[in-house]
Amino acid sequence: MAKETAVTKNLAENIARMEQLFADCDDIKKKRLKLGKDGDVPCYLTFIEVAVDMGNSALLELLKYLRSIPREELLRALEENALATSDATYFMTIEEAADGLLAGESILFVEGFAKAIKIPDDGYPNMGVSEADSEKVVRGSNEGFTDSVKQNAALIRKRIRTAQVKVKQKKIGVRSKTNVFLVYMDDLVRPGLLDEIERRLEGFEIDGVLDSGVLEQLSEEKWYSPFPQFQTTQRPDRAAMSILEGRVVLMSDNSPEALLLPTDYNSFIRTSDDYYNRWEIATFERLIRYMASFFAMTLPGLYLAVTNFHTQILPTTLLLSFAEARKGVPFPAVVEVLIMELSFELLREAGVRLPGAMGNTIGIVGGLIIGQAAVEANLVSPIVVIVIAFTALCSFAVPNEEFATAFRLLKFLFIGICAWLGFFGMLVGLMFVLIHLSQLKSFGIPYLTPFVGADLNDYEDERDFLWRFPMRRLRKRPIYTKQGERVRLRFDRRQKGE
Amino acid sequence: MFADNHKISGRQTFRLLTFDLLGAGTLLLPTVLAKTAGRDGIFCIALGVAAALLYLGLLAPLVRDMGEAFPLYLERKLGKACGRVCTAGYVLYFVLLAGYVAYLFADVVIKSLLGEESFWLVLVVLLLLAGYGVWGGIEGRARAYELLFWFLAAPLFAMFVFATDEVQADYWAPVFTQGADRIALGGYCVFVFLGLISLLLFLGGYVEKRAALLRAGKGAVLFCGGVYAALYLILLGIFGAGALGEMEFPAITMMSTVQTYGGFLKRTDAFMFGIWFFSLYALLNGSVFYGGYCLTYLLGLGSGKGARERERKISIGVLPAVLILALVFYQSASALRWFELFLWYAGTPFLIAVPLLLRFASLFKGQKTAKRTAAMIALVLLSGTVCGGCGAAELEDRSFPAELAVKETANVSEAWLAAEYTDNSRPDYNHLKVLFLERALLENEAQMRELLDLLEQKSDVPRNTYVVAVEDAKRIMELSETLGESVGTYLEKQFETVSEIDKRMYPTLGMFYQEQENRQETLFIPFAEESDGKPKVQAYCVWKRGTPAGMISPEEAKVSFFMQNKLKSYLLSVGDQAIVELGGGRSRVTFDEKNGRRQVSVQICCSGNIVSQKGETSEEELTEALTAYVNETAEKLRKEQGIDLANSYRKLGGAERDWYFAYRSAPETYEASVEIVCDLQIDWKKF
Repeated sequence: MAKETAVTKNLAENIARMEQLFADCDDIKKKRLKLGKDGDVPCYLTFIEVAVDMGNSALLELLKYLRSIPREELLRALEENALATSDATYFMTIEEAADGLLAGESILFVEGFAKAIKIPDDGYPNMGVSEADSEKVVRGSNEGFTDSVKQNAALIRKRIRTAQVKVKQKKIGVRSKTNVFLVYMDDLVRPGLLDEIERRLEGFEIDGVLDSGVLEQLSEEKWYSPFPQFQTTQRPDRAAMSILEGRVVLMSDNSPEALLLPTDYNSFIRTSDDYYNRWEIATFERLIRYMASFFAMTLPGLYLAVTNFHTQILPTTLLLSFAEARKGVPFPAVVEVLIMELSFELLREAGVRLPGAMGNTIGIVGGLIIGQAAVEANLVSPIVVIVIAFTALCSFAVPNEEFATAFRLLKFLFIGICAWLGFFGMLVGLMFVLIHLSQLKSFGIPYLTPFVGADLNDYEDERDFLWRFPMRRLRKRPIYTKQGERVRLRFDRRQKGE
Repeated sequence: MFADNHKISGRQTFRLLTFDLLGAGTLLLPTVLAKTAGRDGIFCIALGVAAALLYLGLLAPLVRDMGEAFPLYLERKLGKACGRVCTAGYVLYFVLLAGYVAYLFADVVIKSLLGEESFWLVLVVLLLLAGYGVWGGIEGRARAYELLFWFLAAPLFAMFVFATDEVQADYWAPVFTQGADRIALGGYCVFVFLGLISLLLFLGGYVEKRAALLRAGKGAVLFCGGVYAALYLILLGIFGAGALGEMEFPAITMMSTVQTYGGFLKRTDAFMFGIWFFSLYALLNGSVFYGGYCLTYLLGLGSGKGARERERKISIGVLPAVLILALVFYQSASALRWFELFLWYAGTPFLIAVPLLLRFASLFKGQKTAKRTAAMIALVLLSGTVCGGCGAAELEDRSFPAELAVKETANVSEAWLAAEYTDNSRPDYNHLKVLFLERALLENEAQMRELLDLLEQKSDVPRNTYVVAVEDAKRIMELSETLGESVGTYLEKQFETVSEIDKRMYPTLGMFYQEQENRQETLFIPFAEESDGKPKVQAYCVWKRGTPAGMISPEEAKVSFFMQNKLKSYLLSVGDQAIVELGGGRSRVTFDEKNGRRQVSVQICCSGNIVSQKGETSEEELTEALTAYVNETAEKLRKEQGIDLANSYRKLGGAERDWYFAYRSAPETYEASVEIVCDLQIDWKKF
């Protein structure tokens, strides 16, 4: 650990050390002031230009107060922490003061006072609360997380107003010193879970953490798996819901993506509005999403297996129309499928990177014009276009982008193995994925919960997986919650309505 | 964390054991039982299940008493030397079993899904997958099979439901014809499969509650016994005992003939193969795992730090031995026979002997790995290309004949194969709807057998292809040009949707295959000729118990279908008096002896509708006239051509045991020695 320098009563020494630390940092303002009623107390105020609002009432109030009292009273007020602002914090070392400065606060040094004073401010500029880009819902809040971890924590607190919600702050990144918050419900979180998270977060040293994705990748157990072992969300209501289930929300500064843990396959398929809508429609949509996740991975492979190996599955008329559609296409079916899939991925990538309006244009140009031209030029058959389009729809129906990406990647494995070994290849691929998923876990929770191990929570979790039971039947929290704290819904007998 | 505690739940144990017991049993047992005990196979299953439950009773005290891993328990109870010998026995049993299952698995894959693929390639892929599964440990396996259970059980039960439509209950009888020794033998066969329940002993260390473990074992035996029984009854009812005993994988064949409601999927056998894929995989994976597990303890590496890791590595190390064994089984039929003998006389008795012995004793007292994995995957991929990869032709490079015609030639097989190479597209028979056979060929028993043997070998020729007799095959095939659609498709539509005859009365290739072995049905094969540019059924060729028996007119055939209750509606004229329509009937066949003569009585109850009438004929008179017509037709054909229009011979086993035994040795005398009498009861509709 680097040697730390204590703040001294000698202002010149403190200034010299700070100027040495922040040499060639023109964005950092360094102001020498004279405070006290008689202007006889030299001071040094430093802050990052954009991060501090000079019209900020706390800073102005403090300076006004310090200018109104004589030198002796000023020093006594500082010693007794009797300043005109409630949130001033003292730092004993220059390094702590520097960290405070870099966190976006103003730092004040006073001649004859051996501590640095942090005057709180709004911190760095951010985008403000806006609508979440992903995870759109038909019903429910539209608020999304921002880049500021503090604002994000406040958005959660806004939804769960209890002192049991705890926020543990950590600084990760040797150079970036990124603020990371662990938000959880103290009486619901499973014992050992927090320790495990902290152990993993402390298990690496990195120069900078610029997004929660970095933390996710560094603390995953099976790093080679395409399936994410942390769930991400941009929605405060989703995060709050997770906290109420005894899960922990990990938020990193500068990232609107919060990480939810532990997680499982089922959690990725669930959406916020599953719980805001009626159970029938929620169940129906969930089943559709489950099917979508399956077909997003297997449909092109299944098409190849059926048309190249097992034509007996299809009705004759359908098969003959498939064969007719392929007449004149110069490539084997597998190449045709790969061409279309890669084109689709290319379009998707181009659409994402381009500005909004142009992104839409790419969709129209690629999907309609190039697609139609490719069919007319006999480069691909219309049926393959339909198969690929349906597969794409399926992948879009999976509510979590990271999770959907796993299926998009595995799709290519299935294309290869089905083109090679037909339906046998499909079965081998499915078994491979299933074994992999059954070995996967997220902070001690099997990834396939509650399809597996449902008995551990008296089969309660099976009320909320492929189907969603009516809200009045979802009386217990899932398995993530500490034992003995799993009841979440009780009815007054008179209002039970059963 | 509970995901890492190396414990599995009772439900997971039940499902794991169920898959271990189900795969090989459902695949092989029906054939073995049909061969051993025929129609009495169902009693063998009951006996086998009872024996397995008794066996569970033998295991129960051991499971409760065991506080350590089973190999260590063996050493504690039987002494180190004896315990190790037993553990070595288990290693041998599981490794041999794994080798056999791997062979069987690859063989089924090739025969059911990949006709042209290399055995070696399929085997390597399967073993790599098994290795990956074993690497995940028991928790991974248990979770995978806990999830899969309903995804596989639900379609299996759905197929059972669909299949019931094809079941002919007459094929179930007669029972108790085989004698106690055959039933006992069959019961032992069932126990050979259910004896794998001894895996409970190895699961003791993984399941927290012993009571849950025993419940899971009992549940698995009862569940699998139930599935074996249901499947056996269905297969017996569809194929008959004779044909079933000759089939290789009858359950998979059944999937190819059963049609789902709605008809979107023409054949579901490829999809349904998944059930056997996953259950055989479970057994393969389990055998490798337990073989490795026992070997770890045999080598003294089962306890202490890193034991699990060593167990996994040793299990992976077992795979090359499994590979070699599977190849040996594939190459050598005698090795396969030796394994069967081992399982029969040594393996299963060993599974019984060890717990008995224990009860008796109780009474008296990183980087490199990654490179290797990559190299193995590369090897598989390479072998794939060497083996020709996906030998499948592109869709547009194949032809999908909807109808084929075969005429009498000196060598039918040669002619067939030669015809396959006359076109530049590869024939894919999966969508074959009608097979036209020239009458001369149909009447030539030797050539028919040769043709049927050839077609049965071709897995893409559907068993539900209709067989139609023709005089001139070429002429009938040319009708596709005038019809505007293929003549096969046209006839299939006629048989399935237009015709008033139940489609199950039109013989299919599957029925012909079965009759080669069963020899108990009278089949009426439509004889088609051109009429106004369309194929029209002008007569029926009769096949009686696997041999040709002449031709009959459509009207005579209709009488037979009516007597068998296979006509949706029956329109006929009663002399000049009236035209009537009969329908919605049911028929019952009884066997009696009257005046020293054997009589087959067919009682038909149906509704009647007088479509048009001349004069004042009463309903009673019409009933009498119709009864007389049916009886005269039946009697005439019986006497003149020896044809039983009631197709009653197949019902003998269930309804009249004495007659069945009497005619079993000389079935050709049946039609000559019985009298067929039909009694019509018509409920005339009033208008």
